[in-house]
Amino acid sequence: MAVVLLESAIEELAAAVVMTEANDRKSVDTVRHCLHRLRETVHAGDQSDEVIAQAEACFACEKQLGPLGADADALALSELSQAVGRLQSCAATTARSPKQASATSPERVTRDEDTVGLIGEFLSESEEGLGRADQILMNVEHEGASAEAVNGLFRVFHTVKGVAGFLELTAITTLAHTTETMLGCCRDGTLKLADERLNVVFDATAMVRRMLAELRAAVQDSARFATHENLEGLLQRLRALSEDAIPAVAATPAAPSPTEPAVSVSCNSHSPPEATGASKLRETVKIDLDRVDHLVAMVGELVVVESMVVNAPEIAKSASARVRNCLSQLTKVTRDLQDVGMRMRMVPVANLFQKMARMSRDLGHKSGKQLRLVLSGEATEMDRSMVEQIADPLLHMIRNAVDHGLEPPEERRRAGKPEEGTIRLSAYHEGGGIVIELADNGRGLDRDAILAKARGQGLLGANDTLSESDIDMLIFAPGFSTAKQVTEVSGRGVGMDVVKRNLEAMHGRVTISTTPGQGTTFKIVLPLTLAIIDGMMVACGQDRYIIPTLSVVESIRPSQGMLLTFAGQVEMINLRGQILPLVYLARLFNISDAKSDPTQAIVVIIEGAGRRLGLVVDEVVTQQQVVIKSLGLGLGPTRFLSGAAILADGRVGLIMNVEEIAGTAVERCPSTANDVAGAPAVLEEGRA
Amino acid sequence: MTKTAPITTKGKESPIPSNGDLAGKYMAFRLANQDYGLAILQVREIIGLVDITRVPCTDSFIRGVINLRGKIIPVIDLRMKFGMEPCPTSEQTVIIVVQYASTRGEITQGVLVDQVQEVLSLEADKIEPAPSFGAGSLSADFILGIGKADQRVIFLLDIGRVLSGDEAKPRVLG
Repeated sequence: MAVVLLESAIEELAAAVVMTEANDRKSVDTVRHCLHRLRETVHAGDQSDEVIAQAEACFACEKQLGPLGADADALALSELSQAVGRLQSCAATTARSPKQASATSPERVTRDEDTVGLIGEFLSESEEGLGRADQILMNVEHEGASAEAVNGLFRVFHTVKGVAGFLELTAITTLAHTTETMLGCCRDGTLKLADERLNVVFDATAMVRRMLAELRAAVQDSARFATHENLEGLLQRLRALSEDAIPAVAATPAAPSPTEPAVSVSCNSHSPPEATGASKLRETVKIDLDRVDHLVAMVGELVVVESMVVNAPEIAKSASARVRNCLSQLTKVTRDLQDVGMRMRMVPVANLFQKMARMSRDLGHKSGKQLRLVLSGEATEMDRSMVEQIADPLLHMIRNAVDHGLEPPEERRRAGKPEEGTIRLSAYHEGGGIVIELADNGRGLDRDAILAKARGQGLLGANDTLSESDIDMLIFAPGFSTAKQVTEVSGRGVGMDVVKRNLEAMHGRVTISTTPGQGTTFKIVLPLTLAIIDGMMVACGQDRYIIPTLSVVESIRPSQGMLLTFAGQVEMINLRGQILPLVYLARLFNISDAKSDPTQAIVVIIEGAGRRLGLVVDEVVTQQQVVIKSLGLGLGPTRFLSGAAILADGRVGLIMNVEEIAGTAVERCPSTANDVAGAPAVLEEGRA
Repeated sequence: MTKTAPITTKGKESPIPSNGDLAGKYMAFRLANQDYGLAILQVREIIGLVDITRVPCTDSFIRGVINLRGKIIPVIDLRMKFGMEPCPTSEQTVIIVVQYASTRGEITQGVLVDQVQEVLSLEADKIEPAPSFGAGSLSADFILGIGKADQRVIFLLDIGRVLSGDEAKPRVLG
């Protein structure tokens, strides 16, 4: 409640601030009034410290507005507008965070909400079906009954009956069943669907529709779902019309007598407890996916155009406080619209996870291992197309976890672990991305076996040494498998490199952490959506490139002491004790007029292909969201680029493929010549 | 509206007239003092020179990519493609946006040319078959025929072959 009050107070204030001009006393007074209301709200409710701090900042600006009744100080006004903006975004995140927490919490939703959800689906599906039935009936009326038409009607009532029966909506079930019985006779040819019988089906359709409307109202108001008085009359008519063909006994199976309370079913099973009142009926509309995609694409364009307008130098030069305020409102509305657009494509990962659960049960059975798949965060939402794309990689990884990760029961017992292995599959939000984590409590990666195998396959020289995490990443090398034998479940060595490639295609990455004897955890980090990414724009010479923010660890201007020189070239950076190779973007991309001295440039630490490296660029220009577009056909291979985006000035910006750069570029540095994960793809690259 | 009936009766799938059926409308443009022609059905539009974003590690004749009303399309420097000096840009430099079907689907590309001239209607008797320049010659593959109009000679290009012929080849770095 406090949150709602706070939000409305902030909204009001923001609107007032936008409308204010420094020399318009009346509007300034409105702002003061709104601030006063906000103060009351903030002090009344238990707000988070952050919100209070931002609100205090607003109040501080109020003091600078100047004496009451006089012209306001224009500078203070613009400061206030910025403070309100910060308060708005702060309040929005606080309001959202509890929801997110509950979304990712592992508990199951209560049965009541489930039922309400089912009823919602039932309502929309049945209404669709009834619409179809009406159309068929109309055709029958004009052109006479056909087998196809009767079948269609039969199916509609059959579906309604099935779901209504499941939901214990006895009245609807009975009506649908009786109608279906009569239609069944028509289908068999014992009766003809015409005249009176046609009318009664019309009436039955109308009655079901009325009852659905009542059901909807009942669920919304948490009221009782009372049955219609005319129902019994209609049922009698239906039965009478079916009786021409079959004995009355068969025609009315389990039909409740009029006085029986079963017909006037109570809604106790589906109405939410009034105390919580939480489970609202959720209406859904089926929309063509293409239209949604189109809408999302257009919103993406709008975001770009919006930033073009806001950043236009002409506007920035001449802007009055009013224009600036309007623009900031425009920005906010655009962001909200983008948010809504994104959410339209979002689906919970629950379905995907359940599919995985079923798969893992089968896998455990086949491999003779006892295992339990623990799911959490099923309500976490992801872009629909990403859910589809991640299914295969996830399946591979679960297969591997079952086959390589978990030990057979005897071995587990010897190791003092419960015989039943556990695989944890969880999804959650982290740092502006979505994380899908797959953890098993099996034997962990066998690094010695991996090294031996890599040497055996020629992926690695005999004397090369690798860090532990580099060894772990070897399992993503093409053709790599440590399984002693190929089993039905896995071990063909085509799995993990496909996993990695699929994830890269989604601008995602995967990391491994493993403890011998304790288990292995794969962490997949994905952007929230495929359509838009947060990017860091960097400049190098005349060129501008976008690095996906998910891949950026940090960016620094190195001091001379941090740089390590090899053979007269600065090739490495010592970052707080971590030695990372440096890659010069100018050399990689053949840029001529870039800065060559790293101490004058910026080193962006990027993470990809399981390793970190420093990318030397001239400067970091800005951070912005960009709509990803494909570079399209006709350009030839562009391996270091993953796409393009239209920038605020209308030009095209190129998005770097960090995985590819990290996988390839490091190989050219002498210190890390033992790079393996990307080696087979890299050999032909050999650029001087 | 002269004798252009053959074109209008054709489906979109085969905008290039087959042998002996080359008559139709062509967009004439100029490249280093020589006239060339593109089948008009493959020309989507002509735009003035805009900012071209250079794409690193691509063939030298690819000038970069541009934003065509929200769609990103590559721009080819036709002079470079033909092994001439790069296009010196002037006020008359334009990008002809062409669209053609390839094995990988419909491709939209921009072609940087010195200057566009006019749309020519060429009748069959004004078009001569491409002379043989010897096996594997660049021009023989790209030229559909040679058109003649008002004392001028116009090379009619098969733009699909010009543009898609090389792009599938692996790029050589360095």
